[in-house]
Amino acid sequence: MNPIIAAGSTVVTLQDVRVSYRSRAEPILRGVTLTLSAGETLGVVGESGCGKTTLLRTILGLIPTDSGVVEVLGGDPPGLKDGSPASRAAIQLVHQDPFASLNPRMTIRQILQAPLRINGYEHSASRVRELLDMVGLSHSVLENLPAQLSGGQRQRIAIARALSIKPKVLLLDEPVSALDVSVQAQVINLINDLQGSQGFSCIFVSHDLAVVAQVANRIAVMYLGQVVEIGDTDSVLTEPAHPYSMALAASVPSLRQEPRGESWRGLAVGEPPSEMMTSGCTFRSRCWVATSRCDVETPRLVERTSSRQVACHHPQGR
Amino acid sequence: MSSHLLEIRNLSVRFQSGSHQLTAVDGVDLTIDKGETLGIVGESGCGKTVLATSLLGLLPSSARVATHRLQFSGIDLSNVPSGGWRSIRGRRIGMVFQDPTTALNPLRTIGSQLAESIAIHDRSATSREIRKRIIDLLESVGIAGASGRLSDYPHQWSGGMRQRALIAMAISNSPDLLIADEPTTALDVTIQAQVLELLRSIQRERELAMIFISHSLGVVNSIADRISVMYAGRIVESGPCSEVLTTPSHPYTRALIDCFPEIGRSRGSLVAIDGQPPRHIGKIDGCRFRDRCNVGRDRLDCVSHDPVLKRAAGDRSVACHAVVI
Repeated sequence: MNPIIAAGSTVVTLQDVRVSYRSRAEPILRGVTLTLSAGETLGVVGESGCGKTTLLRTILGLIPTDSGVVEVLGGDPPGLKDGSPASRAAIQLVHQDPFASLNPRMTIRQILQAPLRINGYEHSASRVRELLDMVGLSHSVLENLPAQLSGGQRQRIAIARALSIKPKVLLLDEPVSALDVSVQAQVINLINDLQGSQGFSCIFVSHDLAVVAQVANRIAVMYLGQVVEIGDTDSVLTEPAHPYSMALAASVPSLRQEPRGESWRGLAVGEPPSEMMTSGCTFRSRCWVATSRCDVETPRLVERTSSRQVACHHPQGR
Repeated sequence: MSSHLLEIRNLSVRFQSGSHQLTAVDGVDLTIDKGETLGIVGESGCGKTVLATSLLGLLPSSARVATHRLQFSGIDLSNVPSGGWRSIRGRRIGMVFQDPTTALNPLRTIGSQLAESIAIHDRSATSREIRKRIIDLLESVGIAGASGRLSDYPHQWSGGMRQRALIAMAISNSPDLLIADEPTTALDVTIQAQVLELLRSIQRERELAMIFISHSLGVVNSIADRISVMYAGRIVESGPCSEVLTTPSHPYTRALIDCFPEIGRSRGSLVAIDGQPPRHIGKIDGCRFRDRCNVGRDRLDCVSHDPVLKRAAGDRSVACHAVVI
């Protein structure tokens, strides 16, 4: 199986990473710092435009950074041109939309064989059938085109394709947001099972805190290009310290009947600012505990407890 | 005379495409009263949007509608004369669509689009009156400084603001019934919470009846008084929202609750529903959920007979052979 990386060692490190696109005046990542340990699932949660997808593209080396350090499996990100095939194979991505990420003209067999063949793995039909077994699909789909499969089946194929070459790191970009609720749970459970059996490290990006909570050991909350809080899933969810994490948790629809977190609800006033703030805390325009200090001084991500870091001048709770 | 604001009995909508006939809505019964919010929840393709559009006369010409009764406030919606919809749609029944980006005309200002929706139904209003009404409406849906933003184009507004503008448009003629079809699905969660709060307060203040369509049980739970769960063109369970969600009767409702990700559920505790919803509903014998059902899969009556929606105690109803009423 996988060349085992010592559990607990760090497989991905980002240190104060800044990224900007030529088409936008403001940077999209504004000093992101986080680590991914071997064997863990890190959930990255945030609303549209906060830089979640850019973060994954940066880790894959698909876009250059302005500054900061990105280290993947002890080296540079695999990159498009200069990375070796082996380094590219060690980190794989599952896209959001399974209707766009599979070539509509290729059969499922061809889709699953391609990465095996390119990376010099055995690519026999029996190996492809093993992959279908792994993601719980019937062998009868082998000669089908993607259009003949449902969204959930397609996302299983995308996951099988990513895992076929035994990556050490799997990046998942909103893997269930295009799926129906009843199918969403199947794919979430599949990802959890596979991670348990194969031991890859995983970054799971989603806008939905409740979905992330189902897969992640640790959660990073992003707001406008920065990680504002990162820590163990349970502690971030039950005792969010950053006001934005609180607002996010309070906004997630619930089936509970008693009014939940009524005091939090709607506290994230207004919408993200249309123009980037150059100094101070970027959340201050929506924050209910902001003070004059937040206007001028940009909060840094600092350790609050041994398992939690928060970027806020006025962290909540204990 | 029915006392309900809207009463639907045995509504079916079929589409003819070539030699195929597809059923989108199959024998739906529902009622809604003044001041009540009905949540309709179901997965994509279950017929919830077709059900809503059939109440607005917006179905394509290939649709065949059959119903025993489709009565809205004394009007028979199944038999509206041509041109008659104008006095109903946008006037008596308002509609908020899912995607605030495509529901507004990108080439016209927000102000002119709102003005049109008022002027069409109120020919006597002067432009000064209309302008004042638009500003009041926009401020009531939480657009600050509305008077200075009437000449903005939709692209200058965020998704949340556009959805607020569309809600303002939907209530501009004080309708009796508001139909909201996944109105928050395209929005971020913190904005979704704000828009849900807005819809709740508008509904309460104006004593509107509202049909709120969503794929999310959680979203429906936060806004609806009653809930109807749809599966493959049918309503499989209806009742007061809090009761249905705490003591679900239908195996599908139960399964939807078990697979609903929610903060506070331990990691890996979701129970997935096997299989997927049927993509096309043709002629069906037996229960359409039975392939995915863990209760009735092997029961004879589930294979042979399609269960009908039966009344149970406490304003609840359920369509399942395995449930003892």
